[in-house]
Amino acid sequence: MVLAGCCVNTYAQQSQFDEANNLLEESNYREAIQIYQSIADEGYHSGALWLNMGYAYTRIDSLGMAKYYLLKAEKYPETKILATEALEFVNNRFSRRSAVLPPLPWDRFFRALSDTPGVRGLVFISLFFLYAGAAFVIASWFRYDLRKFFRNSGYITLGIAAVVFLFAVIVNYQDNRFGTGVMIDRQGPVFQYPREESAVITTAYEGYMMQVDFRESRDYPEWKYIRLENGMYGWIREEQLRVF
Amino acid sequence: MKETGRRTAIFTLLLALICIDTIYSKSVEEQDFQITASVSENRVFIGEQFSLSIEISGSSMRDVSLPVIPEINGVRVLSSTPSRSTSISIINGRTTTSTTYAYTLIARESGNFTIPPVTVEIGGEQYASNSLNVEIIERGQLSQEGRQQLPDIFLEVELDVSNPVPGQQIVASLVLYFKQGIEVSSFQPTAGWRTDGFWREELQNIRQPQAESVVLDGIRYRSATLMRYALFPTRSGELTISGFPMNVGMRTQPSRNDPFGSFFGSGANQRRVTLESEPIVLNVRPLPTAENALTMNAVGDLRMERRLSANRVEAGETLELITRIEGTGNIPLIRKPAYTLPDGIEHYTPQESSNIERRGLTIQGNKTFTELIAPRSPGTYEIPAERVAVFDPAARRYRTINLPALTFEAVPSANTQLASVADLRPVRLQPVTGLAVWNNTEPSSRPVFSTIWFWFLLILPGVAVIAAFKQRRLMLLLQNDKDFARSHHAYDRAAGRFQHARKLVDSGDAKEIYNTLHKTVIGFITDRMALPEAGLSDVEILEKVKEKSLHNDTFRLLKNILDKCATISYAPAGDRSDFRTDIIKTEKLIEELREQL
Repeated sequence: MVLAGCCVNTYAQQSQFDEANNLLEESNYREAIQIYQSIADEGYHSGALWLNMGYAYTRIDSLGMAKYYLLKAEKYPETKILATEALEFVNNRFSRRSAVLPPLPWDRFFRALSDTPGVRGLVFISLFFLYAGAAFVIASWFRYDLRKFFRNSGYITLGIAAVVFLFAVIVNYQDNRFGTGVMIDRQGPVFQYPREESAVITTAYEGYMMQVDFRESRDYPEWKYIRLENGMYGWIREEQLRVF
Repeated sequence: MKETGRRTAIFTLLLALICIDTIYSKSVEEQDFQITASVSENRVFIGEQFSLSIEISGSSMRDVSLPVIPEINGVRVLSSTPSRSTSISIINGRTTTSTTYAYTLIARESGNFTIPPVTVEIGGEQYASNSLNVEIIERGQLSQEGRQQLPDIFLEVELDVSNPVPGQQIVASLVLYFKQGIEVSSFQPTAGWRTDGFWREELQNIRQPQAESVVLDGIRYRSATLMRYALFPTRSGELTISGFPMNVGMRTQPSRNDPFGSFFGSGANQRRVTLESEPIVLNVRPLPTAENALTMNAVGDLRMERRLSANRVEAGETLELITRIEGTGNIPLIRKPAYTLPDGIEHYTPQESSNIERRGLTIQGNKTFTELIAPRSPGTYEIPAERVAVFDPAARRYRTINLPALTFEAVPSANTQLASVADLRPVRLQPVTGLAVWNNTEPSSRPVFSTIWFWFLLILPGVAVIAAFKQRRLMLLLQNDKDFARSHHAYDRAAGRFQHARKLVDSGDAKEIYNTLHKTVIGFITDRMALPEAGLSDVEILEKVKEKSLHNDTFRLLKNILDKCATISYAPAGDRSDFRTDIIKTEKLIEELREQL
C-alpha cells in the first residue's frame, strides 16, 4: 500500500512536470514556472526540474533567477552537462559582469575540497586512514619482527587521517557559515551597514555571484552580509538575491 | 483778374496748411517731451564733485528754457551755467532731438539727500523731471589700515549662492576692481583655475564689460564684470575654488611730480600685470533624501516627460522608451532614471543626447534618454507609473514629477521566434522532457557530523586499540613476571588436575585421587600467592592462607580437604560417589579461593 501510494505520488509529479513542459513549448513560460514551483513546493526536485525552470526564466528575461536554477541543476549528474552549457549562455547575456578577484590559494584549495570530495568524502577518507593506522599500530604490538615498519606506517597513516579530518572540519565550518548567493534583481545597492541610510559601497547587478556570511547575517533577518567576487564586503537586502 | 484770384486761393491754401501743421505739431510736441534727471554718482564723499544731468528729449526743441535748479540740501551748485550737448536721432522716419544740460555740484554735508524735480519751461508750459537720491559720506569713516588693504587693481570671484546643494547652479562672476585714473585696455585669462568638485560652464552673456562706480572701504573704485561661469557642485562637503589667474593690460595717468611723464608716449604709463583672485571655500550641503520617488540627480526648474515610440510591436522587435528632461538646471549632470521594467523585456544600454544653452545667467536646455527595449514574448506589457524627484533650490525641497504608466502590446512574430531559436542553438539551451529522476530530499542535506554511523565508525578503532593494548600488556606480564604467570595460569592448571582426578575415579585408586586433589589445592594456592611450589607443609600453607583473611567457611573447607588428603591412606576406602563428591567440594574450594586470594 505504502509503495503504491509512493508510486502514485511520483506519477503525479511527473504528470505535472509533463504539463509544465507542454506549456513551455507553447511559450507560456509564466504558467510553466508556476507549475514547476508547485512541484518544488511539494518537496520534489530533480535536475530536470531545475534545468527547465532555468530555461523558462531565461525566456522571460529573468536571468538572475535563471542562473540560480541552472546552478542548482548543475549539481545533479543527469543534468550537469546541459546546465553548464546553459549557464555559459546565460552568463554571456548579462550586460554587466563583476570583476573577479582571484581567490587566495587556500580559499581555492578548500573550495575545491568542498566541491569534490566534499565533507562526506573527506570524512570517509579520514576514517579509512584512521582504521588503517589503528591496524598498523596494533600489528606493531604483536608482530615483533615487523614492529618498526608497522609502527612507522601506523603513525604516518594516523597523521594523514588527522589532517584529512581537520580539512573536513574546516570545509564543514565554511559550508555552514558561508553560502553562495546570486543577484536576481536588476541591480541593488550594497550598503556599508544593514541600514538603508548608510553609505552605499557599490552596486550589485543581476547575475552577480557573492559569498553570503550566514553567521554575520543571523541578527538581521532582512539583510545578508556578502562578499562580492571583486572582494568588496557589504550588506544587501535579502529579497534581492537567492542563496544556496 | 482771374490770375490774381488764383494766386490768392493758392496762398490761402498754403496758409491754412501751415496753420494746421503748426497746430498739429504743437499738440504732438506737448505729448512728446520727456525730461530725465540723473547724477554721475549716487554715493559721493564730502567735497567731491559730481554732475547732475537734465536730458530733454522730444521731436522739437523750440522755446525751451534753461532748467531751473532748485535748492538742494547738502549740495551746492558750482556753476549756474550748464554745459550743453545736443543729439538728433531718426528712428523709423521720426526725428528725436535730445538736449542735455550738465551742472557741476559739490557735496557739502554728510547724509541722505533728495534732489527735487528740476523744472523746464517749454512753449510757455512748465515741465518737471524726476527726483533723485544722493548719499553723501565722509572720507574719514574708515581706518587707515582699511584703505591700505585694498590694492589699486584687483580681481575677485563673486558667487551668487553661498550655501548650495550638489547640482545647484552657482554663478561665479569674475569682477575686476580698479581705482580712478586706471584704464584697463585688455584682459586675458590664463590657465590654472581649478574648480575641483564642480562641473563648470562658461556663460556667454557678456559682450563688452561695462565699468561701474563703486565705493569699497571708503575708496572709489570702478568695477567691471569680465566673465561669468556657471558652477555645479558634484558632491557635498567643503569645496575650494582656487584663485582665478588673469593677465590685465592697464594704463595709469602719470604723476604730476613726474617731469618726464608727458614726454613719452601719450602721457600714460602702460604695463601688463598678472592678477589672481582669492580662493573661495564653499560649504556644499548634502541633498536631502527623496522619499517614495526616483532620483536622477536633477536640481533646478525642470520638466520631464516620457513616451514610447510605438504602442504595438512584434515580439523580439525593439521600441524606444524616450525620456525628455528640459528646463533650467544641471542638465549635463542628470542621470537616467532607473525605471522599473516588467519581466520579459530585453533592455539595452540607453543612449543620451543633450542640448545646452549658455546664454544669460543660467544653463538651460534639454536632455533625452533613449532606451531600447524589446519584449521577448507576446503579451501586453505595462511600464509602471513613476514619481521622479527634482530638487528645487529656491524652495529647498524636492518637487515630484508624476510620469504615467505606459502600455504596449507585443504580438507574436514567426521571424522573431526563429531568430531567437537560432540565437540559442549553439549552446543547446533546451528544456528536458520525458521522465525525470525525482528525489524527496536535497542531496547531502544532513551534516555528516550529526549522524550516528559517523560517531560509531569513529569510536570503533579506538575501542580496538584499547583492547589490543590490554592484551599486549597481559602478554608482556606473562612473559616477564613469573609469579603473575603462575597466578594467571593457576586456575587452568587446577582445571587440568581436576580432569585427571575424574579419570582416576573409575580406577578406584583412592590414594592417587586424593594425592591429585592435594596437588591441585596446594598448587593453586602456591601459584596464586607466589609461594614456592615445593617444600611447604600443609600447616605452613594454612598459616599463609590464614594471613589472607579467608572466610571461615572457606578456610574450614580447605583444612578439611587437606586433612582428608593427608589421612586417606589410613581411612577405609570409599566408593566412587565419595570420590566425586570430594572432587566437587575441591572444585568449589578452588572457585572460592580464586575469588578470595
